[in-house]
Amino acid sequence: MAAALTNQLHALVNNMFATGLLDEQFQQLQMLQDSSAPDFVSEVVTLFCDDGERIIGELARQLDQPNVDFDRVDSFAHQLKGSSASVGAQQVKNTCIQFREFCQQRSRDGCLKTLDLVRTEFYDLRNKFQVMLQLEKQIQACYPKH
Amino acid sequence: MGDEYLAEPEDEVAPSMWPENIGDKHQKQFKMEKLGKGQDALKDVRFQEKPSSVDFQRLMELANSEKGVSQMQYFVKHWEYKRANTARLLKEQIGFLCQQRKEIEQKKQQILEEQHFQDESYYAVKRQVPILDEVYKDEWKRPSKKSDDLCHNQEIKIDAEYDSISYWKERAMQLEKTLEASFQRERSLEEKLEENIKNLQSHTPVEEFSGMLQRADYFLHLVLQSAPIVIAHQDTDLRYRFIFNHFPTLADEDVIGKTDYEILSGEGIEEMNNVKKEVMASGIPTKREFIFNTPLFGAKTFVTYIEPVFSKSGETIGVNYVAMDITDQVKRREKMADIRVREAVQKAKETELSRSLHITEETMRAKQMLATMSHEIRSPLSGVLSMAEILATTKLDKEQYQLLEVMLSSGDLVLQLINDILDLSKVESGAMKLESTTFRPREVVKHVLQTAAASLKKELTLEGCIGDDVPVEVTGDVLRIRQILTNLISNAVKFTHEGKVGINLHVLDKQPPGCRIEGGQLHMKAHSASSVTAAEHSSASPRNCDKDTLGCSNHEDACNTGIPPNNNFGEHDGGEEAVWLRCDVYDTGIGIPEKSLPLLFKRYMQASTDHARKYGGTGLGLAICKQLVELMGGTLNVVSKENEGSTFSFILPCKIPVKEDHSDDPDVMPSSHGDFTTSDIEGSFLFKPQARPCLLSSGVSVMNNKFIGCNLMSYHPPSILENHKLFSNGFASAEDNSANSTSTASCQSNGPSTRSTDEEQLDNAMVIDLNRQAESISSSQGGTTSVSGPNIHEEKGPCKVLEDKSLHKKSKCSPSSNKTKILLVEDNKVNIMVAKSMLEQLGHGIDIVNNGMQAIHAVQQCQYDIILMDVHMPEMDGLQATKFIRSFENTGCWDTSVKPEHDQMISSSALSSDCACIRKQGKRVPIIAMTANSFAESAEECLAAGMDSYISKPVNFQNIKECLQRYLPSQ
Repeated sequence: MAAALTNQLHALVNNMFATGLLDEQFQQLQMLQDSSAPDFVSEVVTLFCDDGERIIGELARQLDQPNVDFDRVDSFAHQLKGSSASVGAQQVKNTCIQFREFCQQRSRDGCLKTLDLVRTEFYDLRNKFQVMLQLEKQIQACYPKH
Repeated sequence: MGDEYLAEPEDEVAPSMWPENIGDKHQKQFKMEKLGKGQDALKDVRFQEKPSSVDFQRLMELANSEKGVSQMQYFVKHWEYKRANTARLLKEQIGFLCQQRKEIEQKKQQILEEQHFQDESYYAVKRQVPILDEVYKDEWKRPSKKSDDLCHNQEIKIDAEYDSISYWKERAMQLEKTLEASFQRERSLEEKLEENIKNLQSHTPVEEFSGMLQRADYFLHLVLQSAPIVIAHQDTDLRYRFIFNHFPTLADEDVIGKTDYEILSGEGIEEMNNVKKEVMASGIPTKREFIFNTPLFGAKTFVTYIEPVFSKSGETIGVNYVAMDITDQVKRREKMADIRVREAVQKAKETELSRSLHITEETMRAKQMLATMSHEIRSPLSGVLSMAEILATTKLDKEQYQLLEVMLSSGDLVLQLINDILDLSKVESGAMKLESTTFRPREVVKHVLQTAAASLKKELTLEGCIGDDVPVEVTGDVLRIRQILTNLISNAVKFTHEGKVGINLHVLDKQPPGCRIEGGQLHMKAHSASSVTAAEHSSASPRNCDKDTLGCSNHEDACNTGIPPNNNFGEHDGGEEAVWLRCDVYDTGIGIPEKSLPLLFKRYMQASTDHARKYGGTGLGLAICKQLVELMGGTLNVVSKENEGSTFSFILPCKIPVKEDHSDDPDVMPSSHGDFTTSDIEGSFLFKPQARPCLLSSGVSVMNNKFIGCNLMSYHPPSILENHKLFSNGFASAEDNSANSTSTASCQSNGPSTRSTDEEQLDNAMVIDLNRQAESISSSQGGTTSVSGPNIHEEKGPCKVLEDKSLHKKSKCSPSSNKTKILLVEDNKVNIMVAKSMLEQLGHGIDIVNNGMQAIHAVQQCQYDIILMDVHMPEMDGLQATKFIRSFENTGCWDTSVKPEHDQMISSSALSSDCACIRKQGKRVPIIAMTANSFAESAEECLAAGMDSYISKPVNFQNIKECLQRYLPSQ
């Protein structure tokens, strides 16, 4: 049971690496998780997901306003970029870089288009993270029985 | 001469076109000679010019030349034609005159008859008598007609009454008068005619020629008057017979009859004369450019046409030449050529530049790639090696242990290679920072030799000689100096099979010429060079000179970038003295072929591929040494003779610390002062081959030996080992030699000896490092090198603790007294979480604040060992915060905008004496930027704001660990 789940988890994570969703920074997180901090990855990922959702909402709200404050938008994008870089969410990070370029150009259309992309990518990633955390929980749940 | 060419086409028009009055004006300047038609004709020619301008005797001779003859023939023909023409005209004139005469006779007759008739018939004649009117009307002789007309138009006025007797009388008398006048006119005309005829006869061809020539002369003169031309004729002896020079600098008298040599002197004369002679000899005209530089008319260029002149019989009788001043043109031409050359050079340069730019870019990229790759390889390798080391401490059987040993040594080799690459790229990219510590050069030399001796596998003598004038203590980056020395020594040992390897250290009595030390911080100290090395010293000094400028600039670099962490240093700048230390590492090895010398310090280059195969190694060692030496402001040179040995010499500027520095450091100084008489003053060391077995067999643990053995196999410079040891903070540090930890494990009880300040720790760490090594080997030597016991024990503490940690890399229970304090300034929650987790795993205490303002407050509250600062933050960004912190460190007071509340300050200093103490010293806290590598955050900006370095986000174990290793010196 646990082995199958573990395989599944590995397959999922490997797939996320292979498709470029994640980069080696995520491995750093995995390295940080040990007996002293058993839920570290989960904590970070959850924080990232919550934070990301908030920022994306914030971005959408900012861009919706008649006079877009691009500096503000940019600083939100910067935050999201920082967070995604820290957890190794490569795809989201790259899109954030793109997004910030549009911010620099003061291009609302560009920003909106990239925001859509970021959102799609972010939710896709979040779903996968959730599956991943789910699997981890299940695996951990399995262990005591063995 | 020359007129013959010009005269020919012109003579047809010349007579009618030439202005009559031009002759006088130009008479004097005009020196054109005249050619007669033949020898006889010339006798009669009237020369109007002064005879001095032309040699007329010569002219006779010239007339005999072929050209002269043809010229004469032409003149004769022309004269004959003219004479015939004149004769015809005269005949016509005579005809007319005859006719006129006839008519006049007729008229006279008629008038007489009429008179007679009128007398009788009293016929009144009112009609005027225009006697010659019909004749003159269409005649050619206009002027004379006019006067005649005047006569005839006179009214005949008669006062008497018409038809009276008196009237007719009067009239008869008047007519008589008219008739008389008419006769007179006739006579005068006849006279004129006769005169004309006479004139005609006196018009000889000679006169004609003279006139023609004169006119040609005038014409030529008009054409030539402003031409920068010299026309001349010279005879067979090259004496001037004629010269036309529009801008004469000499009177003609000075020229005619003389040669060029007699007139001029200087450049170009000889050449021109040679060409003239050549022309005369060959008989072929030529055109040449001559460059003259004579006192008479300065530097000028003439293009000269030289042609030979032949006599009738075909002999050469001289040369004509026409020279034109083209100095300006030549200048212009040269300028053009110059410009063209420059243009070409420029273009070539540009191409070269763009090519080298391209190459540089490529190289940079390749270097970056290499550095990145090395990084990438090092982190997993570190993991492998540390695991292997831990494995080595577990229970293993002999075979397993041997396998593990091989594994470790191979791993060390790879790690060493990677470290070399990283070192090199660090130095090259300017990221290498120098640490300034006080150290004892004698000990450094001794320890390097001891280390080499300990791992020696050959029958070699290792010796060290230190000049008496070398200060007991100097300030410099001891780790790098050791790295250099060790590298050179291990190289020397590697390539030496018998004989000796040694180090000479002495003070350079003269600072290298051209190397100025800024601000007078370093003073030259007048030490006499030790006698042992004086010869070498002088022999190598020319080489030093070559690189002085380089050394100088690097030195400034070093001073600018390297030293600052230790602020004591700065405070005592004024009182500090500096010396140039010269260190020679010599051997009696295989030497280096001369052709390989230039390649020696290049990366990945070895003297030959054979050597690489035979001796191994990467070829990076010397490149690193050179870079390091230059970074410290010195120079590294080599003198070598094949099969006799090599001497690598480097000179370094070192400051001599002021003794008072250490008066507040009671732990170290008293003991070291006490040692002065023993090991510190010791000027030479000798490690004989026979000492080796005893070294190995004595008290050092087997394991220790084995590890040293490994190091030797990999040519692992011990100083690098120590470098990492000192700075390692305990996480997966492969460099940590477990041997050392075991060997010092017994000292654990001395562990947490308290360190009041970082400054002290720095010093101690250095001393410990030296002492530890001294101890491990001196004990094996039977205590010949005396380092006082208590000293070792006291200072073993901190290093022990570190090593302890390295063994239990992930345990977070490191002693709190030694725990470094890190301030993390970051606003992103996720980033904070990750970074915090990493830092905690690395065993560091961490405070977290969310923006620059908070960071400043935190710094005001407490002393941190290092600050990791995000750049982009709300409220106050990292750059701004860094500037404030740096400003405080420099001036001792906070900018008003961020000034802490007064009581807070007091409480903080009261609370932690540590902080207060350190603050007094104005310690500079390392600030590391965490950059997102985006457009808004450039590394340059970070450094400019006062940050020490930067790590790119996202932070990972590798970059954070390296950064901490570098900037937490006591770790």
